[in-house]
Amino acid sequence: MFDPSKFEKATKSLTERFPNIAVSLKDDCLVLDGVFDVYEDIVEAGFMAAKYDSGGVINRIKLLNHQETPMRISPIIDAKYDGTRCDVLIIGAGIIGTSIARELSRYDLNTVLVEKETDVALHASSRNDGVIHVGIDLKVDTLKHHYLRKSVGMYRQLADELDIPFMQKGQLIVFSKKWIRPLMLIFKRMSKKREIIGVEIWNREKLLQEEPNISQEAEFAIFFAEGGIICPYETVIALADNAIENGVTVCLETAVTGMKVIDGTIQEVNTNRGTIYPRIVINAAGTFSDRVAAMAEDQFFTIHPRKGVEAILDKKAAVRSSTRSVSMYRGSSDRRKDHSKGGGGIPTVDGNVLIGPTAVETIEREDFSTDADSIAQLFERHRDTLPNIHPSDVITYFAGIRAATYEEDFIIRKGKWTHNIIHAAGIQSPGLTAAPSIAKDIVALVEEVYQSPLPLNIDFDPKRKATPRLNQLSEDERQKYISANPDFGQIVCRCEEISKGEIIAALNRPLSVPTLDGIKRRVRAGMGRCQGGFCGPLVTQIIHEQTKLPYDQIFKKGHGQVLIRPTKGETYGHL
Amino acid sequence: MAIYDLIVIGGGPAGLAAASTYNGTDKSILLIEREAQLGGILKQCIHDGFGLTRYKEKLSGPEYAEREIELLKGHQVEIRTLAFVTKIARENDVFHLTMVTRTGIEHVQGRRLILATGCRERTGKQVAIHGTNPSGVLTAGSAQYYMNILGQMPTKRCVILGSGDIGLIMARRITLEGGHVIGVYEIKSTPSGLTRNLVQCLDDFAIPLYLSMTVTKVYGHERLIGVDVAKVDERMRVIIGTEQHIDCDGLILSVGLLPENEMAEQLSVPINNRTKGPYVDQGLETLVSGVYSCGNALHVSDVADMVSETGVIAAKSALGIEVPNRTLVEINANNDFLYVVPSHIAIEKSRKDIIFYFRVAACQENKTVRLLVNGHKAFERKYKHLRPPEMERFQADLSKYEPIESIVLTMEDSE
Repeated sequence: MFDPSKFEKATKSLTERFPNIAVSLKDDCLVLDGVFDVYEDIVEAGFMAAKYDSGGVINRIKLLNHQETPMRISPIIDAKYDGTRCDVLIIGAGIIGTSIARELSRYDLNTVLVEKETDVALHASSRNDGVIHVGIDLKVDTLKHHYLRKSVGMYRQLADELDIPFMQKGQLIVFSKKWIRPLMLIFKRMSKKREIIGVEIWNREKLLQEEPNISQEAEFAIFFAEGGIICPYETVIALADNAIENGVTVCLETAVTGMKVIDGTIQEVNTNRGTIYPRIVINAAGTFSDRVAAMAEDQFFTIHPRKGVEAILDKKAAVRSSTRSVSMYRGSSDRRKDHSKGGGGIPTVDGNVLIGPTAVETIEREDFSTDADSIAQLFERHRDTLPNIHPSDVITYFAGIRAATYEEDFIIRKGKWTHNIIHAAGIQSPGLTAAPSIAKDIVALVEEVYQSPLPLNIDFDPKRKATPRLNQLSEDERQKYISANPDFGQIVCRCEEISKGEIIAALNRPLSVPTLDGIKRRVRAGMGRCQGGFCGPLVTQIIHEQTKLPYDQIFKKGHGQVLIRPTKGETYGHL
Repeated sequence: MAIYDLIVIGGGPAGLAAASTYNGTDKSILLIEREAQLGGILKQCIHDGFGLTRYKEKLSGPEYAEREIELLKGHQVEIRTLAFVTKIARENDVFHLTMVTRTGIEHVQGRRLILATGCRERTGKQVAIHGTNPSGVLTAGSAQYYMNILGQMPTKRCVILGSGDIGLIMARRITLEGGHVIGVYEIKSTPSGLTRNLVQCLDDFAIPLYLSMTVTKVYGHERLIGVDVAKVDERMRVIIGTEQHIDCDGLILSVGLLPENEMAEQLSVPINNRTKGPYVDQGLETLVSGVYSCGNALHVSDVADMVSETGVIAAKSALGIEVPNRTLVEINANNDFLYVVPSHIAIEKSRKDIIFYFRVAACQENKTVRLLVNGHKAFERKYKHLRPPEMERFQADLSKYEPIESIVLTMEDSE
C-alpha cells in the first residue's frame, strides 16, 4: 500500500504548484484530475506525482479547449475475426508485440496478434534510429537497464535466425574538452557496475584513425564494443513473418475498441472486425497502452507522448560520416531529454546515415508531422560531432512518438486488478534493444496466468529466410536466381537496384502488405535518393498486376492513403 | 571477349542521337537501356513541341523518339534493353561494365564510353516540404507516368509547386483530363519554365501563376487534404502572416531536375557544381579521358532537340582520334552566368565551330555577351532578354588563337 503520509505530501506539493489540481487515490495509485490551460503543466504535474513511489500515476488532467484526437483506425467494419477464440491475444504489432508473438509461437497455443495499422511496425518501432544500446546512461534499478542488459547479447543469434542484418561495430561517446578527462574514470566505473563489456578509452589519435570524419575538436572518446545497429522495421517484419510461419495469426487493420471485463477477468475484446474471446490479453499497444489498460479496467500508468524527428541522409554522405553510432557528450544539463537516448549520427545497416532524434512533449499520440526547425536543430546539434554532413544530404525525414510513462520506465507485469491481462507498456528507448528478453519474461507471465506449463510447439522453426537481396549476392548466386526467374534480372528501383522479382517476392511473404510502403520497407524499392519518383508508379503497377487490386485501392502506406483518384462516374473540379 | 569501340549508356534522346551518329563507320557500338523500350522520358511526354530544330516539325515526345529510333535502323548498333549497368571499372584503357538483364549477369567491354544517363526530379523532402506525410504529394514526372502511361488520374484538385517545364505541362495535362489546377506557385520572383510553356500551358487555360510564393505545410493523415501557401521575401524566406490555406487532394512538385551521375562517380569523373554534370571539353569528353557525357546528365536542357545535339557532339568526338594528355583551358564565366558548357577547351582538339551553351543566373535585359579568347572577341551577341530558364546557344571558332592563354565569357550592358 501507498504510505498515507506520502500521499499527503504529494497532494500538498502538487496543489501548491497547481492550485486547481485534484489529487486522489485509487488503491495505491495517484490520480490527478483537473483542467489546465498549458500542456507542459499537465506533463510537469505527472512528473511531480511520479516522484512519490506510488503504485502508479493516472494523469487525467485535461487541456482547456482541447478536443482529444480519437485514435485513428481503419474504416473497415466487418466480421472477419468475429467469434475468434484464442489462448493469447496480443494487442499491437510493434517490436514488443511481434517479439512476444514469435516467442509464444514456440508453444502450442492459439495466439492472435491484432494491429490497427495496415502493416506491422508503423509507429515507434519503425520511427527510431535502430541502435542496439549498451545502456551506459541507465539507472541500474530500472527495468530499462534490466531488460537491456539481458537482451544485448541476444541480438547476434536473433539476427542469424531471422536472416536480418546486424552491425556490431560498437558505439562511441565523444568528448570535446580535455579538462573532463577525469570523467573517463567515472564512465569506466559506471560501465563496470552495469556489466558492460568491451569498454575502451580512445585517445584523439586512435579516434581520428578509426573515425576520420569526426570533428577535429574531439579530444577523446569512450568506445562500447557491444553497441550495434539493426534495421528496426525489418526486424519487426521478420519477427512477424516467423511468428506466422509458426502458427500465429496476425490481423491487420484490426483495432481494439473496447473490452468486456467481469470480476477482474476480460471476457471479450471488441474490434472493428468482430469480437474476439481470448484467455489472456497482452497489452503491447505502445502510445495507446494506457488506453488499452483502461479498457481492461487496469490502468495504473499514463502515457505522455514524446515526439522525435530524425533525418535520413543519402548513401553518398556515408563516406563523410562515422562508421559507428556516435554522439557528443553534453553533460547532464537537461535531465528531461536524458530520458530518451541522446541520438547522434548513426550509419544504417543499408548504408545511409541517420541523424536524430529530437525530443518534444506532445499531446498528440499519432502526430507524425515534421517541421523545418526540428531538422535544423538536428544539424545544429550534431555539427560539432560530424562536421562534414550537411542539410543538402537529406533525402527524407520522419517523426516518431515515444510511449513514455511518468515513471520513465518499462511496465512488464500482470494486471493490478484484472487477472488475465499482461502489460508490456511504457516501452520507449531502449525498447528496441530490450525487446528479446522482455518477450521471454512475458511468456513466463503467460505461463503463470495459464497456471500450467505451456505445451511446446514441436514444429517450431526459429529460422526465417529473408527475401533475397540480389545486389548483395555474388554474381554466381545472382545468376542462379535470374536463371530460375528472369524477373530477378529486371531492375525496377534504380537508386537501390531492386528487381521486379524481389518486389513480387515481397508480395508473397508470410505477411503480405500490398502497399507502396509495404514493398518499400521489405525490399527497399523507393528508399533511395529519388524517393520513389521513378519506381513509385512502377511498383504500383506491379502491385496492381500481382494482386488484381484496382489502382484506386492501392495505398501509399496507411489506410486511405490512395495514390489514384477514382475515375468512374465522377465529375472533377470539386473534392 | 569482344571489345566494343563505344558503349553508350542510356537510350533516351541523348543516347539515341549518339548511337545513330556513330553510323557509317566500321566501329562497333553497344547501346544499353535499362527500360523495356528506347526513348527515355520521351515515352511519357505526349505533348508536342519536340523536334522544332532537329526535324523542323512539331512532334510529340513518342513521335520524336520514334524518329530517333528510326535513325538507328540498318546501323551497326547493338541494342540491349532491360539491361541495367551495376558496375563500371577501368582497366588499361578498357571500360569493364557489369550488367543485370533478364537472362543474367553480363560483362561487356568498351574502349570509349558515352554517359547519357539523364536526370531525376528533386523531391518534396529535398525542398523541405513539411507537415504530415499523406499520399497525393508527388513529382510532376511521377504524375505524368500515372496519367500518360498507366492511364490513371493521380489528383482531382491540385496545387503545383514550382514553375519548371514539367510542372507547366502537367498543369495543362491535368486540366485537359478534367482535374482542377488551383494554381502554380513559384518560390522565385521569376518563372522557371519556358515562355512558350507559360503561355500555352497556363495562360491558355487560365491557370494562375503565383510568383514569390511557396508551399509551407501539407495536411492530411490519409490522402492530402490541403496545403498552406505563403509569400516569400527576396531571400526566399517565408513572410510570416501571409499564409493561406488551400483545400486540395494533390501537390505536384516541379522543383528542379538533377543530372544523374552516379555512374560517372564510379569512374571518379569530376562533377561541376554549377551544372551538377561532369566538366567537359568541346567534344563533351569529361576530365577522365575516354568518358563522354551528354544530354541531361551533362546539364539539364530545355528541349529534347538540344539534348540530341549534345549526343551528336559526344559521338562525333568519341569517333575521332584519341587525344591523350589533353591540355585543358578552363572557360572563365563569372557569377552573372549560372554556367557555361563546355567548361574547358582542349587545345589539341579541333577548335572550329565549337558549340557553347550557357544560362544566366538572373533575368537580364539589353546585354552583350562576349567570348574573349586571350582578350580577343571570338563571339559577340546582343540579347534583349536573358532569362535563367532559357538556355542560350552559340557557336564560335577558336581555331585561330595560338596559344590559348585565357577564355572568358563576359556580360556587359549593350550600348
